Amino acid sequence: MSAPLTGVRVVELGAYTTGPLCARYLSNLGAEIIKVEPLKGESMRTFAYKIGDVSYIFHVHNVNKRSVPIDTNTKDGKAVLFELLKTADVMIENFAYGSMLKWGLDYETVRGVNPGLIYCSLSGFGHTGPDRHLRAFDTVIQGMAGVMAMTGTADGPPTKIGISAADNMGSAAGAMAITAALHHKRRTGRGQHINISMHDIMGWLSSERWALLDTEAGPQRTGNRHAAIAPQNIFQSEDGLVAVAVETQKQLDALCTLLGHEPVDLTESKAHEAVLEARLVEWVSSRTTDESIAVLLAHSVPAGQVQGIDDVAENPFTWERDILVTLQHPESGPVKLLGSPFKSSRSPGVVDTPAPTVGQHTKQVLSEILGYSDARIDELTEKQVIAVSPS
Amino acid sequence: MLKVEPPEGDRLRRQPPNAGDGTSPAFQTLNANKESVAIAADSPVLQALIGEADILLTDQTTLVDHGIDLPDDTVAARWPDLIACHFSPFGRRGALAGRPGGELIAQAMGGIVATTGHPGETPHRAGPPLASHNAALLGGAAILAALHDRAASGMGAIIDQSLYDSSVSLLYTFLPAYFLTGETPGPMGNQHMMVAPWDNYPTKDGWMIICVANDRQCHDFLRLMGHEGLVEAPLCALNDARVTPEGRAFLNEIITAFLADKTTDEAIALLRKHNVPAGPIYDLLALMENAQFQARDMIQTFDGARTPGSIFKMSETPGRINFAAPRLNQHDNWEPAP
Repeated sequence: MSAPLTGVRVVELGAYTTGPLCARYLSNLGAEIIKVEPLKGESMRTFAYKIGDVSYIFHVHNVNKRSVPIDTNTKDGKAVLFELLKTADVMIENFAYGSMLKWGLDYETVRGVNPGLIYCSLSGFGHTGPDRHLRAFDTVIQGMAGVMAMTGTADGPPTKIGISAADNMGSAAGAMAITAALHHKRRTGRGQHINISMHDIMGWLSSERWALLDTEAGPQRTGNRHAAIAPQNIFQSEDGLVAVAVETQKQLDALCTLLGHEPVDLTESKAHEAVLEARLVEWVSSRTTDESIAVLLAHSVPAGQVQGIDDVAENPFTWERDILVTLQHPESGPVKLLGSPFKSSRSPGVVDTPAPTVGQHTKQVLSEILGYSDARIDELTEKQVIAVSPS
Repeated sequence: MLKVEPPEGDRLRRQPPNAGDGTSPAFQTLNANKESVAIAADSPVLQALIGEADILLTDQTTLVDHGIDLPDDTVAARWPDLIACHFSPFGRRGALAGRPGGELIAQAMGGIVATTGHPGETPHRAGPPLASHNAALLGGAAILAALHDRAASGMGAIIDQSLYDSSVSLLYTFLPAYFLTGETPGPMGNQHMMVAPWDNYPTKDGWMIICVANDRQCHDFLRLMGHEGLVEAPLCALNDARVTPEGRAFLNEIITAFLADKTTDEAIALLRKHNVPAGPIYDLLALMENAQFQARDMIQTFDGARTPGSIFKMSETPGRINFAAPRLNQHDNWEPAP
């Protein structure tokens, strides 16, 4: 068993979610991550809901990483960073468009240091186009990409996806682009610049319904219903909410049999939606959630509970799949965190060490990788070019 | 990319609307850049094709629908250097493995529904297929990482990518409250749990979003609205007061009144000029007409059907859409290597 990106070195210059989560995904696939953060630590450490004195979200995004704080605004700091980048395969940054150029860390400059480097930029609107200067909040991007207009009911307002969809999918797209670029690098020795736009990705997410633009009614907000197939909806049981959603003709046939309805062609199922839903409303309302789901599944009709955060967190299946894991933190003890979403016969996904303290690995990384002496490290620490964890 | 379809075609080909010729627009948006061969489930050609491939993609619903049995151990034994990625609602192992499901079930079980929508109402799914698309990106990364590994090790891999895993992985903004306080956070509409005012607001001709992230932005906004006197008011001065139900209601009323006689475009121009973060809510037609989306080549058109462009903007190996989705069995001249 070996994780597939073992031996790949990533330098992360990220803050908040998109960059750090992208690097975290690569670490789950086995890559080595060096997190270069400001001397005082990355901003997300200070967010609400803390474990010890560091935010829970920081713990989630920064497992498996080594922390090396560098003041990259200093000449000496930039020199240390460039020495690290010379040894790296990948660099990730998620600052506002233009920031890296201002700081002298843009792709053209860094390529001069290491032409084989894969340099991945993650930003709200990408590095090209008239809106590239706009600052991005997840909610603004969901609004500007058609995602909110598709979410919610027709008679209610456009609604955002509760989780930070743009941040998250930007991270996943970055991880996929970087792994593709690793092949190009292996074949040719060449690095490249990747510029991922969260707006592109949210727009792409909406593409399932572009087809409806050419219909008379146009795309509508359809609540929990599917735009073309029925029945798909959420139903109230005696003690909770049950999602029922057919996708294939066989599943629809099975549901019709169960409800005592004559067979319906899947391609015409929307025309029968009202009747089928009315029967399901009645059928589910007289049963418990567990009973409804058990009977529907026994008939091979897809059904599931609407799980709250507590249900997800307590469901043994979530732990069985190692999507939630417990890591031992040296100061805070056992910490429940999200695991790796990558499951393969060659690797169950790496979730190895808890998020680092600020400067926990400065000495280790600079001596092992760059051959710095203790005296050199002390000197740079004294000059506040780098920071070393006190513990 | 060779798309193997049953003789009657992928079921998405017949999904309304406009599925008359068996190549629905919904099918076309997902299948550009692919060649199509139609093969019966029991045909030996299917096995031969897999033998020629570097990567095999399968999904549970389709395999079950067509009675195709491809157990992991058989795949691993027969094609040891193949990278096989299986997409499923709940994965290949664990108590729920093999359960039927799709996008809505994954979102419901995976916590997306319970955290989307407005307080007090039945919660909503994310309109677009969030669980599927996120699983697709994560699967793509896992496959390419496995290919990277194979170049050195010569070994294939069996990847188990579930929609449930992909959904739960997105919950990190909601899990802390539960793990650290025992509270179960629910949907907040378009508001932000930790800052206010942050919501969608009606204008003269539609909706807009305003995201006020700090006190300074809020005070600028109050002055812009002609409420200089409220900057120091108890419900407005500090975020701690603004996030209370009273604070949210008070400010929302002021903002709604301010926007009532302005179009969305006018209001956004005004707010951005005063450094108040704001944006429009585009429907899909507006997205198609958006200059940024167009400048990034995100809309491609083949025979009148729109296909999304590549999200992978890369200087050396840019993503490309080379050709439109195939007709069923358009590429049936495929022959196994001798």
